[in-house]
Amino acid sequence: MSRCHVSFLLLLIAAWGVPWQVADAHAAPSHTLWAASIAIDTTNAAPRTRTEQLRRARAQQPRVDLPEAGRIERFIIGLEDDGLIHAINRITRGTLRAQIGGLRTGTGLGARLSVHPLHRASNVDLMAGGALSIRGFWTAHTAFALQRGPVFTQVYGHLHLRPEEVVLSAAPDAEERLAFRIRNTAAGGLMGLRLSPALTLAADVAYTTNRPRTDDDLAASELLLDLDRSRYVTYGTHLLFDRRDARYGNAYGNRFTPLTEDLNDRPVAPRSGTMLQLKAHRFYDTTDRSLSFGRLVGEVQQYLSTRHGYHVLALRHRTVLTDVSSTADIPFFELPALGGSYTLRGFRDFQFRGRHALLFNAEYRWRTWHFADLVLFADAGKSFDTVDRWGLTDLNMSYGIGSRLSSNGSTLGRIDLAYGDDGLRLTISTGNVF
Amino acid sequence: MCNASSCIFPLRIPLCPSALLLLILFVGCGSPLFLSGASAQTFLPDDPVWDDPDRAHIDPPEARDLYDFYDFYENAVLRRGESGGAAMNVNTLGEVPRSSWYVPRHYYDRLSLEELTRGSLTEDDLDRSEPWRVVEGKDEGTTTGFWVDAGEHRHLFKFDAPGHLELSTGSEAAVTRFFHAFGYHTPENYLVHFERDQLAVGEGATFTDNLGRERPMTEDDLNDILDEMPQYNDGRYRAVASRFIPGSVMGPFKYHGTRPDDPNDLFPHEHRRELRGMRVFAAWLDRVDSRSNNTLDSYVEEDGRGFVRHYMIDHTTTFGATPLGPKRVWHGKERIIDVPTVLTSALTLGWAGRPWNRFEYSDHPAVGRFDTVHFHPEQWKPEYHNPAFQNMDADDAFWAAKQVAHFTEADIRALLAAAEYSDPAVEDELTTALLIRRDKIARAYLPHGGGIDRFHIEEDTLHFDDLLDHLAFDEPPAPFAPTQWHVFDNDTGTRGPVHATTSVRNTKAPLPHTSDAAYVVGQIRRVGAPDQITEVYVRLHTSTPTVVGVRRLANGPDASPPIWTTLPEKPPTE
Repeated sequence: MSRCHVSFLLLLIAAWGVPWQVADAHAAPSHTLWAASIAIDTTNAAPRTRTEQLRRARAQQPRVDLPEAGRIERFIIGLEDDGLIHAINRITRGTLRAQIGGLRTGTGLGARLSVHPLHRASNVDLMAGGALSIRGFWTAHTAFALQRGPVFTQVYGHLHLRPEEVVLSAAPDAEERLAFRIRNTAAGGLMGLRLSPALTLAADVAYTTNRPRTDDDLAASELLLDLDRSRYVTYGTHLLFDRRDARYGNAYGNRFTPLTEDLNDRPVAPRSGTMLQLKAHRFYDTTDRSLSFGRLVGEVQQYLSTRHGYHVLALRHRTVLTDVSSTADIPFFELPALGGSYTLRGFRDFQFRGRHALLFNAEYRWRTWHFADLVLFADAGKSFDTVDRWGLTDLNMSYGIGSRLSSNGSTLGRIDLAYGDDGLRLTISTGNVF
Repeated sequence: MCNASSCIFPLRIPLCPSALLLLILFVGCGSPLFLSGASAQTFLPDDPVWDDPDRAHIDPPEARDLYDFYDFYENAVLRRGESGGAAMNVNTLGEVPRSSWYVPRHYYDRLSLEELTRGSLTEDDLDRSEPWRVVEGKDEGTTTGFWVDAGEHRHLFKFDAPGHLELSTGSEAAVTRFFHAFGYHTPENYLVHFERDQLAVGEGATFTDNLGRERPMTEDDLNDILDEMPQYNDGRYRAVASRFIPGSVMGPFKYHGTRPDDPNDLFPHEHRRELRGMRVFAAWLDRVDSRSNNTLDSYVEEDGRGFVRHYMIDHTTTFGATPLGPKRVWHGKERIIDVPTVLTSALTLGWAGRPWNRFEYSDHPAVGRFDTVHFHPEQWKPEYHNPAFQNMDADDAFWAAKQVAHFTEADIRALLAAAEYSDPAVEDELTTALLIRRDKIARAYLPHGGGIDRFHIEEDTLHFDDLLDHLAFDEPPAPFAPTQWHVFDNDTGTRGPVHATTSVRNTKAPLPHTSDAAYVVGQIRRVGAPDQITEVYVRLHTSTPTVVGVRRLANGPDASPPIWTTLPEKPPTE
């Protein structure tokens, strides 16, 4: 069979196929309007007007039921049908609330549950809850907060099992350290007055005990000054000037109590404003008074924002001064510590301890996405035992880069990679530094 | 007109002379091609059609919901819809005929200032003969509001964000009128001012709290909602009462595909000019949330026929407003997910990629953030991918831009009057911003094809409007070169050589003298811009010459036959 015969046969088949193809096109309109106009049934006259073409094309269009939702669509619809917003609201604002995040420095990732039976009331908060971290530390707490006009008050109680670590020598080597578990209990109350939207004055009183434990009894006895436990009555005042553009979700008084870490509010992510806080407290040793001391804490935060908050220079300075009589000493776990993901990020947790502490943090934050910032940061600080060493000499420095995920004024999570004397240290946390 | 994608014989077959002869005889005598030669014409007798018959009776389609998360996933992640190609649903003038989607309005038949202000309202106010009955309330954080029966009608009441009285209610009231003037179907959005005793909880009313729990609504619930709402100094509240649209609600439409259970829905939505060109309208008014959930289909019955009508609803996030307060500074400039901008910012410590974040906005709480300096129409972005917007081409943009440019300052003020701003400075500020943005749009899109439109024949002369003779342009428009006329063969879609040349004076070009031509096509271009051409097709064989076709070219002459209305290759569904 020659090539010509083959092509002839093919064309014959193709030509016979035309009516079939036309009928098929008629069943499901296709091609351009021009093509559609030739693809019509021979029993009907061709549409000679545009209007008729359009009308006929629609008449020929099959009606098909809406397709069933696919697996992903069903999943996403399910989220909305169940009210994802409602679910989030229930978790964050309902009777039973859940939260993921570390309890405090050194505890590792944790989760907390709390019950708020009076959550519908706007000025009253009654809560009870607990938290557990993956490293086995835990806390249980309860509080009642009341706010009436400019006056607020709060009573609380808590029980912690928290970590402490002390360096036995100057070398940052693991073998030179001793880790403790501290069981801390506290009960107290406070009362405050909002003098203006930005200015608040408060006073508090509490009873606290700390019972440290370690597996290394010899070292422990030396460090713990033969203490089985410490018992303190603390009392003091707070002065807070807060003009940050940060919003708190929970009871206002939480900002003043030692419970702050445990009742921790949404970690705020200010982008502008100033915060100044002064706290003066007396720790009265109820055992034999020999371990009594006073403490003054001052903190300043400044947020300089440009370009509608796309660039933020965040600065923090904190000074802790401890007043100890010349003959007295205090347990190491009552000394302020520096190092770790909330203070000097390039150093280990609790790397530095002393009666006094000085800390500077600076962060340049720039918004890369609507819900994310990148951060360049530098930390500097030191612990020291005599006030005359207060100053900018001998600071321990670390610096690094990080990222913040935030929404609606609160930080959802952060990653910091810091470089200090210990080398590189990575922090993954749900809380903000400041 | 047979192109690669639509040709009915796309296969290449080895031919020999005898086979070819048989094919011609067989196919030529028996196929519909022979019978339907009339339909192969470029212009059919009723061209240009100004009414798309898409309101044939159908049984009610199935009502459906569309979910914000899924819509975001479908568009921002999956990027549904066909990309590219020209708009399909236009007439031979390139215009959008009247349909269940669109009604040509202000540009085509200028509305009076009163008509602009009134928009789609059928009444002056809600029925205040007795207290309005709240039938359903909700407190879901970002969307607090309630449903109210007033007289025989039900309305959704929407309020301003605290501290921003008149911001979003004003933008919603005004922009609804803008969209009505463009030609879209819009709900009746009444701006209402009322005192507390105008509202009462209706019998059987329900309330859903912010945890999603539904219960009977009480006056305390209503008071709690109203406590959060901004008030005037005299205690009055202000809200937009959005009247439920007539008919049975079928749910939103999507910006891609067609509804498979609506046979009238013929053209894929991403190929509808009124949806593609809407990108220009949205850019002008900063309607950044132009997504499916701000549309609504309704099954209506008129003249004994039931069909689906398509509405544009919820114009709250427009001008400088959102329901939660002023717009975010990135609105209109950046998508929710905008990888290039994020990377640029990340790598430059935030110093590049966002020049607009230096703009200082109005500090008036009722104006919000409505940018003019960094507004560039071509770069404007909705919050996330919209397949119809993505397909907008120069013809779509021209179609919309000429309508935008058509609004005078008086028109704009009449539309803003619907917002009833208590401070005249707000209307002044918004008017100024809208005029600046209007002119930027005109400069960006009107030069397409030379910037001429509104063709008609009077006394054997082609008349048209020079759209570049507009306040937006600093320089007077360039004069027109002589028009070259060709005889156009409507059966083959081809044109002959230059038949005549006539000069253009004062936007008038005499028609050529022909004795036997049924159609001619004239090419109009400006001096100094030879590639920007508008082809005007004139039908001569009727009692009075008529403009039947307009084609705009941006890249010089194009000898290919013009194509306007096309049907989809295969009806794509959503």
